[in-house]
Amino acid sequence: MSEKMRRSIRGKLITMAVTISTIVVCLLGVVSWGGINEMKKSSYVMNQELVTLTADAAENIVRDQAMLDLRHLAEGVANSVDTRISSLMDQVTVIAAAAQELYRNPSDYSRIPINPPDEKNKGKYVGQVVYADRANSAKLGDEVGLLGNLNAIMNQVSQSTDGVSSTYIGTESGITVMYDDQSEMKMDMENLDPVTRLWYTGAEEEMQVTWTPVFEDSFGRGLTLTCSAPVYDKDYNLKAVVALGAQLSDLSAAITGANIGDEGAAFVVDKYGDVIMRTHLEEGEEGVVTERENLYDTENPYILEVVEKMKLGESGIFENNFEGNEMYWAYEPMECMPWTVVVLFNASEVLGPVMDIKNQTNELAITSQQEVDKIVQSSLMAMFWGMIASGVLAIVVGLIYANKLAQPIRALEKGVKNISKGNLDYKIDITTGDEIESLATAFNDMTNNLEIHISKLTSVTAEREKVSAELDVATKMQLSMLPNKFPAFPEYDQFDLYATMIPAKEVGGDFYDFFMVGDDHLVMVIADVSGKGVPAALFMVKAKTLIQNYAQKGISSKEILEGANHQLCSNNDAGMFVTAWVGVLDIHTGELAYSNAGHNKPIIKRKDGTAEYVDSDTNFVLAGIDDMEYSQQTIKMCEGDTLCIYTDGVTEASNKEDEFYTQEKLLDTIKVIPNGTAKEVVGCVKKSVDEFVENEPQYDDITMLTMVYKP
Amino acid sequence: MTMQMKKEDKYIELIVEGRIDSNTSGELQERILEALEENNHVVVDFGSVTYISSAGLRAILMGQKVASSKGKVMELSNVSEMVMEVLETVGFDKILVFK
Repeated sequence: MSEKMRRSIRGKLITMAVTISTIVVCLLGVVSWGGINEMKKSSYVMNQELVTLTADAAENIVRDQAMLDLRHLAEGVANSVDTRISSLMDQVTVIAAAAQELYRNPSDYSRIPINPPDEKNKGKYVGQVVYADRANSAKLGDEVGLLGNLNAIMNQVSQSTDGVSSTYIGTESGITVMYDDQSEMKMDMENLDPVTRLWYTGAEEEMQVTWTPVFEDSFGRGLTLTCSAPVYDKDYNLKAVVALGAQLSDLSAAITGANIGDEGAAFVVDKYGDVIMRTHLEEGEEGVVTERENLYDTENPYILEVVEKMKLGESGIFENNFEGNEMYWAYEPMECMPWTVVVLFNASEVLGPVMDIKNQTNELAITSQQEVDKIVQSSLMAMFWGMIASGVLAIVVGLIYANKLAQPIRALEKGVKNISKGNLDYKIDITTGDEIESLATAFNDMTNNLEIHISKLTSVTAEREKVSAELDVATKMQLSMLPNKFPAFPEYDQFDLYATMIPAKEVGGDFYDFFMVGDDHLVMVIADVSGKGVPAALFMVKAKTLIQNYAQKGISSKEILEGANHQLCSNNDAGMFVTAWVGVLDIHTGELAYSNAGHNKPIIKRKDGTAEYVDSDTNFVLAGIDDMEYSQQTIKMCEGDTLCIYTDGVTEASNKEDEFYTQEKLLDTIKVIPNGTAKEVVGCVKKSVDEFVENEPQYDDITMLTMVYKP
Repeated sequence: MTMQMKKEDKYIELIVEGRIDSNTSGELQERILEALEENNHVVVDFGSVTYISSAGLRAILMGQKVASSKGKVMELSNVSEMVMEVLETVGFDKILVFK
């Protein structure tokens, strides 16, 4: 038990220390861990933001700049193409003006012949005349001769103008004169009617210099574009149309010089969406362009939208995904014609360096994040070991303090064990200066007091035991003074006598007595000394001896009581007194002479079953007042009559409810007892009293004497 | 048993209540003798006495004896029938003064 206690206190202290430190450390741990994690997270976010911000900013700047550049580029290209196209248009205008002059003043000019196409002229720039089927060539000799005046200028233009492959003039009358170096191609030509041609009708409709849409060249020279101008006579009747043919491939030279990068492209689109000029031409066989490109062919909604804008002559820039690449498109309208220059740029080419920056920054961010992670890791590890170390420290410190605290308690325990073994001289020596020392001092004081108390108690107990033993002896002696041999007088068969006294716990003052005086008289005495204890017992001895002494003189019961009273009154400072009843029976006649000194009236039960109180005068108690006179009465006892004398121990026996047994109940009991021996009668009364009191303690001596007269 | 002392004009009254047995008779005797010491006339009120044992009787007898020897008066008052029966049994009615 004590081992368990000690361990428990130590254990509790250690547990307390460990618990407190664990809680503190855990709290710190949780807070720090949370803080570190938060730091880690925010550093990650910040890093990420920094990367995004830097890269995005760079990208935006580059992108904006690139777009601006692209716009400028588109403008530049548009300008340069404008210039180029304008110059071609100027040349057509000049030729048309010359032709007009011819038609308006034909008489001013000589007639210069123009030959039909001749294979011999292959590779030579010459004019070649052909006629429409409807025309009568014989009648048109004069008009052809007039047109011959244009030979020099038109050959000159065909031969020496960049991008121009041929020039030609067609007339209302059905003449077509072509100036180029490809005479061989026109040998087998059938029905070339100029008025049906696109370049002719276009100029007719526009009534000024204009360009045709892209069309297939009649002589297999690929996609062609023609700039044509109408020629009117004085009356503004259309006489002819002058034209200048340009192959797409030749025209495109105007924009190939644009600085648009490796993957960039530039092209010119007419109002029909047809590509007129472009960089990176895909040339077919023999260096001619046969593949027609039209922006309307695309399904890309952005491009379609832009084409609409182009048609309206708007300029702008947009970004879209084109053939798997992110592209920038810039479009700029031209001045000379409703055409639009489009410049395309691959975004990656522009943004490449930005992406590099982005990647580098990203790498940097990852590296720095890894650094942060490393630091966090090591911090957490340091924290973990710190927690373990503080836990160990708490246990060690807890153990030291627990031992320190438990040590005096163990000393105290040892002392208490010693004291409990009876060693009251043992002194507990604890100088901790705290409550335990106070406890030890209190224990020492308690031991001292215990010692004193025990020694006192020992002597008192010894005394008590002595007294108690003596009282025990006194009680035994008192009992032994009463005659207790039954049958008492076997030599006399005239009566049967039985008596009993059951003493209460405390030695009391009841007594009975009986003896023969001479051969004829039986003296019966019953008495009760007032009070209890040794004084009562001693007084009883005195009273019993005196009554016997007087009785033995053979005097009457009245004289016995008077003599005893006188003797008892002298030296009775304690004020003791005795109630007594004395009867003298003549055993031969049955005459009972008796005197009563304040005692209970006896009961006589006749042989016939009736019972009554024996009429007794209530004389004063014995030892009360000296020289009292006592009366004497007589009663006649017959054969089979039973006399019962008793003390108030019988009638005042109490039950649980503090009720007395009472004289009346005694009388009733005796009445119903069947006739028997004296001992049987006493036994029956005793049994009745026992049943009445049940288990209640006996307060007073119970004394009874019964005599059955049977002469 | 409980007792109360009440001072009247010409006598002192001791009011006794409860059982007078061997445990309480000592106190009764002491109070009666004390009262007789200081007063010439003592009245013991037995109105609330439920029982009196032989030891109680002795206290009364002592009181009566002291009163007689000193020429003083001790009276019993309001004695119940039950107590009176006991007193008569022991013949005390012959020597005690009842009020």
